[in-house]
Amino acid sequence: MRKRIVSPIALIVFGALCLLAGTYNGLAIAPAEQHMGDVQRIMYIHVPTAWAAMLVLTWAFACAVMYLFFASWRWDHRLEAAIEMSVVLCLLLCIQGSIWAKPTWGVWWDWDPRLTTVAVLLMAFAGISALRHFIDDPVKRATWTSVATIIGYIDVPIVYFSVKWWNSLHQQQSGVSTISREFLIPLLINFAGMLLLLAGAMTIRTRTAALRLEEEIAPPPLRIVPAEVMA
Amino acid sequence: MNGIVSGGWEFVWAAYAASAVVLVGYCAHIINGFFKARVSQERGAKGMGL
Repeated sequence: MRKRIVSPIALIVFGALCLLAGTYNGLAIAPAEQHMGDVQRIMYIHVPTAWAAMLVLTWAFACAVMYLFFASWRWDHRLEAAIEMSVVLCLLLCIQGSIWAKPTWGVWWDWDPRLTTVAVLLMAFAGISALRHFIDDPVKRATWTSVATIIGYIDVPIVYFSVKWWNSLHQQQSGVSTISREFLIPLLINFAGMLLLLAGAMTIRTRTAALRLEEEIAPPPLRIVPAEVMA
Repeated sequence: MNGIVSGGWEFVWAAYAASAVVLVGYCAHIINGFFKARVSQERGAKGMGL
């Protein structure tokens, strides 16, 4: 079946437009925060990235469980896409967080519980992604990465609760009720943009995984051999 | 030192620029990967006479 990617590309374009609108709102319209000043504007991209990362990691966990239950390639393709996207988003979180940390904490990096647990998550999923490249047998590859994803996911609730459990430099989560409306608008527009972009990118990546597997498990090409050779 | 951060626009621009580079780069990478995989699979299917 010839796979097409017009709709997912459209999702990516809409997502990018939302991100541009949210960024414009956050940088030009929303007021500066009382204590952090303009630096707080990093929140409008950092927080949607964190929400998106948590969502994709949970999706990866769901795909891994579904693959182990149903042994369907569809779940393995989705898992491959989700693992890769998790690595990208965790890397982005570390970069944005580091840039935000310098003017507010005075350091680029600190081995604070939240930062450390996110770094562990990044390493774990980068390792799982690498593991997929080292295993030739598709069934073993799908099973092992599913199991590794479920183990790696244990870190996600630890990341979430790290700011509550331990004395952390990182601030605790804010809720919709504790954020001013002016700050909430760019935050939600950027989150919507992130979701659209993720949906499009992960659909394309899932279809690529399906194409690669089809090619991998296809029988070798037929060779036309003269009758005398056969005899 | 009054506990209030002043200035810092360069950090804001850096965070948004880094995010744009990573997201645009990744999207371009996966779209390119898709087309490569499709061409490779179609070549393989032709080889099998399908």
